[in-house]
Amino acid sequence: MDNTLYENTILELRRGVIVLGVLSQLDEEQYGYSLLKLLSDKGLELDQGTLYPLLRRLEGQGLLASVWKIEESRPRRYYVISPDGRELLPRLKEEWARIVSMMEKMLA
Amino acid sequence: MKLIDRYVSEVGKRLPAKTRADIENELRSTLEDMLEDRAAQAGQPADEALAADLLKEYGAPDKVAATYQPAQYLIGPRLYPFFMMVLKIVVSVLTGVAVFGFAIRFGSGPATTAAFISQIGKSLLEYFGGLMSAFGNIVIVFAILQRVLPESEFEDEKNEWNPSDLMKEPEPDDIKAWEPIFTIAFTVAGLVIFNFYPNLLGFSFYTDNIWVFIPAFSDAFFRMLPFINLAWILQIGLQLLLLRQGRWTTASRWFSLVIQLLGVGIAASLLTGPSIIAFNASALVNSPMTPETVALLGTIFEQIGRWALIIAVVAGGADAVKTLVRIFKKK
Repeated sequence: MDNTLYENTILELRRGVIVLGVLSQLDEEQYGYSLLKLLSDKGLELDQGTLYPLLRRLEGQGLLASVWKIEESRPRRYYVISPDGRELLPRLKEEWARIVSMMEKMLA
Repeated sequence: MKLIDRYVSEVGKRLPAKTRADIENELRSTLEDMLEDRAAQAGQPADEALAADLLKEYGAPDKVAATYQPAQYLIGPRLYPFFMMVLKIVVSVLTGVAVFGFAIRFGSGPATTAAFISQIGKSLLEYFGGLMSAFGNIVIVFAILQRVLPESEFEDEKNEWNPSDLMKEPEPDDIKAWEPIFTIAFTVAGLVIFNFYPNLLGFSFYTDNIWVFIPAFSDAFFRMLPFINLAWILQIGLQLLLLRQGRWTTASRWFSLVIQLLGVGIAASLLTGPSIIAFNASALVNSPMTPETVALLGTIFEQIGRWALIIAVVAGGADAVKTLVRIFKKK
């Protein structure tokens, strides 16, 4: 089978999960690179080209808030889940549980 | 770190000015974090060689900049079906006109192979020239619509659609988005053709070894063009207003009434003045056709012009009355 087709399908599958993964890890504030490592430690490997534009988009949608801080003589932008994001997260988790249960039944 | 600075600046050049500084700062901070991390892992200093490896992995500046930009369209998916529809109609009309023009040319020119090849070549050149300018003008109109129409323009139709709507009588105040878009596209086409390409409106004859161009419309018609332009520009304004509002209102109906009356006035004035058709018996007198054919063709074109104006006055008047009735019914 065509490997590109496989990779593209996997990318499509992961696309929706990434938002949930990112929102779930921003209970405490993180800067981009620390979030990238945190997600990687938990098994979600993302490239920077995906994560940074996503963080900006989620901030634009009001689901994240960000603030610049100077640390180790370097400015870093910290992101944290916003009140709107906090409200949305449990609903997304519920939907995720439904999807997992539905797919388990389908794939059993 | 010179290499990182250069890289960040290259990415920044490809970003919109509004977000550039913010993205540049975040990118620089991230790259420095990554470089520091890699240097610590490798147990070597964070030098330019390590930075070069990191940047190569991070990706070319244009690709990195592209990830921050949403997809941009000259004509987006919501307008594309309308664009294709208008394009198909215009191409069909231009093809019909080209075939008709070629038939007239071939019929009036010398019946030799060389003349046939020369006529077909000339017709094809004109046809493709016309196609390219029509295509360009339609693209410009739709590209402008893409930028001036708000994002929400077509949402109502999508959200509220119900299969039972198929059986409902249309509401007289509702406007389907495609109606103003079609009117705008064809009105702009009229404005452009009549003002900038009047040579498309006529026919060429081959006689005494030279091509003679006979315009379809007379000077009397072109003297009225400023008023016709005014009516067309007002029409485009009205259609843009209707697109934004999504419904007819009393104000837009009054606006429409003014344009309809202006149209009736222009048609009536042309009807009572000299003929608007230049393609008549006296213009055709030099063509290689017989005097009987010339007289017959001249009369046919004169009558077509006359009846088109009568229809414009009657239909325009009827539309104006309908508009008035709707305005007063609403009150």
